[in-house]
Amino acid sequence: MKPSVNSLKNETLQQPENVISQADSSVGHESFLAKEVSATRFIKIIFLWVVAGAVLVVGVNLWIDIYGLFRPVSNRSLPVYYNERVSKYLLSKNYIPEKFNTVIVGTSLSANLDISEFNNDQDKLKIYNASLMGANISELRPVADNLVEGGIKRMIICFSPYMIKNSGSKEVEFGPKLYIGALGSKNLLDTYIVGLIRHYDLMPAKFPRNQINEFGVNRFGDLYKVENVKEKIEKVIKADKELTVDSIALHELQLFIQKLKDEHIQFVGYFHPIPAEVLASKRKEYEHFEHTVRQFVNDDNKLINFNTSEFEHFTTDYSNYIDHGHLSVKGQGILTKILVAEHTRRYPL
Amino acid sequence: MLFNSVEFIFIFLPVTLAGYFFLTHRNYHRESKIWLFLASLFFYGWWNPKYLILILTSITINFLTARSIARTEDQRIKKSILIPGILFNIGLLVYYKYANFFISNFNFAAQTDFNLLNIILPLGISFYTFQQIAFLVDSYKGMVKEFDFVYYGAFVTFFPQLISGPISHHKELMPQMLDQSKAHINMMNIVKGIFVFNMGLAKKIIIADTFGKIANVGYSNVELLSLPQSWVTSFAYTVQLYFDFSGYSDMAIGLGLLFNIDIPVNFRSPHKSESIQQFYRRWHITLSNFMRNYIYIPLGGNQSSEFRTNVNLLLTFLIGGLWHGANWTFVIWGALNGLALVVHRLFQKTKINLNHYLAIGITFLFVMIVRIFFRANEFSTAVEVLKTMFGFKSPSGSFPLVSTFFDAPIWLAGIILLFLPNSGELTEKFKTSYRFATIMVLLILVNMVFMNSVAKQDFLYFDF
Repeated sequence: MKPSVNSLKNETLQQPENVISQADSSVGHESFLAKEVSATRFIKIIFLWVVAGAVLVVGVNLWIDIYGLFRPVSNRSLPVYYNERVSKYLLSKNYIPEKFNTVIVGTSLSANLDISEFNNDQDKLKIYNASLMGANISELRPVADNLVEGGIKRMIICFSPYMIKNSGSKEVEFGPKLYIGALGSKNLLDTYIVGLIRHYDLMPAKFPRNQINEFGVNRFGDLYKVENVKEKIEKVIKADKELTVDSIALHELQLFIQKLKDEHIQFVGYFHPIPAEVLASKRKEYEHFEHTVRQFVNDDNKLINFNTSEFEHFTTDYSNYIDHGHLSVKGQGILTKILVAEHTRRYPL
Repeated sequence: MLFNSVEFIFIFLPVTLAGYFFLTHRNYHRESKIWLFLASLFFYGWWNPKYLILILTSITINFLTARSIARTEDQRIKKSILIPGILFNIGLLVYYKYANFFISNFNFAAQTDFNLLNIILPLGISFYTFQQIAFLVDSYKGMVKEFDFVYYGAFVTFFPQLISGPISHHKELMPQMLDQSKAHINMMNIVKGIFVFNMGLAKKIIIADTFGKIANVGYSNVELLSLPQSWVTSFAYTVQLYFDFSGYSDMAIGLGLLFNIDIPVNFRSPHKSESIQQFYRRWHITLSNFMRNYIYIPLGGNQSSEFRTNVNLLLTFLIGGLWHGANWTFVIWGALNGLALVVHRLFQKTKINLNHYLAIGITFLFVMIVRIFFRANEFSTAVEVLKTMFGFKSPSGSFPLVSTFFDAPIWLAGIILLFLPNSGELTEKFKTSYRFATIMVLLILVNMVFMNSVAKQDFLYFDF
């Protein structure tokens, strides 16, 4: 005894086309939606409607062009609404290279560095923060590759051991499919939804308006700031989490730096200022990481280490931090001034 | 090649269909089956060409064995051909699917250190092996009359059902392949095929994959799950598995229709079942049929004592569990289901009638809970989830199981759809009206949008 997909199958398999066609003429009194047509006509209708619908969907998305891929961007400001990885990857294809000449690349430690004020119209410096929250080097490289291909020649790189903690892309597969997704995809739909939520400030606690602005600055400080930084630091030290090194990620870091050198990118790399107590608890690991990066870069003039005695006043001041590593507005202000000044001094515009 | 991939939908399928009907249109019926056979082999080889040799060897040996059985009159000789034939199939399955399981268990029991074999489970081996065992047994019983290698090869490898079923029986598919009245293009079947395929696709890429995200996060962070999160994780997996597998089956049925081949239904709203017995009459129906006809009945079925019937049930479900995977978790899952059926049989004797909704609720809860063993990679993981669910364990930290609520409409739709008419019932109502045209266009457009999204998950039953 076989259950059948459609008991009407037998009849449909034998059903001549004209039997269905007869129905066309006998449903005049029925509503339009209930009107039956022949199977051939039905397929034609489906085909035409699907093509029309697809053209409409693609057309609307081309017109909105939330990632600046399809229309000129010179007069447009494109913030990131949702999915920082996908958004910044797509923005790095056209928007960032077209509008900026300097880019910050790094993990969450640099993602909130507010460089908006350096983008005044009268300045030659146009700087974008392309850092990604929670990213490893495998996720940063595709963005950096796009930027280099797009003609970006100036970079500030935040080096931190978190870049090589693991490898591979955790959330998305970077590649051409993401561009096609910009014409209509679930991610794009989610982005629109969050964009509207942010625009109308419907969920300020979760999706604050302008969280990642048109310069790529991720203002996550208000969302993640801990009440007592000292306490948080003590907790992290007590937890004593290992700073693991992924061998694939380490190799990718080497390739990344090599590419910057091969492409003659004018870059300044910096070792993020770690709170003094956290640094003291993991000094060996941090020093090892620094040593590795110095070997890869092979030019100490391109590197700034904020974890030396010279910056102890910074790393011992809790007010520079919002937690055990990310910087407060005050901390960012100090750091960005130093970084931009150093970069401009070394590579005048 | 996944059914939900661009290369399948926009290249492989149209080319295969066009070639097939081009040949049938010119009355090259045998050639059209050769074409279908080759196309299906290409579909299979896309995953790993190396395993084409395996499937072709399996098909050839089974075909020759079955033909030898059919040509022999002497029952004893027939049996002496059949048994090695079945052993060959079981041997293949044991080697590719269970060898490492046996080695690791032997290592554990005997404290030895034999190396595990470097074996990749060939896609669909559990499905095509069962199909061919049935063919051998039915040849032995004299139920197979036609022996044509091309048609047999086209039947076993027929790509819509090759990888994950439904486990089509030769009695269902081969006569249709031989039937020349079904060889010509049928627009109504094309329309219906597209409709059923898109329903299946939507089940998979919209609903199953959305619930799958929750289940995957939950099962990757078992130690962090809170009590409500452990329930949500288990529930999400239950919904995911249903929509994933029934979605695949729908796609297979839809694809079959395009070729005028009626592939048997595999699901009939299993989560509307009032008992575990009813559940397995509605869940993975083709496997249940196979287990009943080729394991349960040969064991004696319910024709002897009550005790023996219960033992047969338990054995059948233990084998069913092991069929799903070489892991003790599957054995436990099978045993629990078998036990539940035994308990259900005993309960039926009490003549107590449970309230309809209560019965559905109990059945759903039972299925959901035992599926933890089905999903967990290790026994300890399953126990940890169960402990958390029933308040015997607290999480070692906290984490967000669900980070955003954009998918809430899909969650809601998924839950509601569990209890609404199923895709088979909807297909029966299908008409070539503007109402259905509108539904179909929306379905196709939404599917296209979801297909164009980044994350793509394999079908769960590919693992079996």
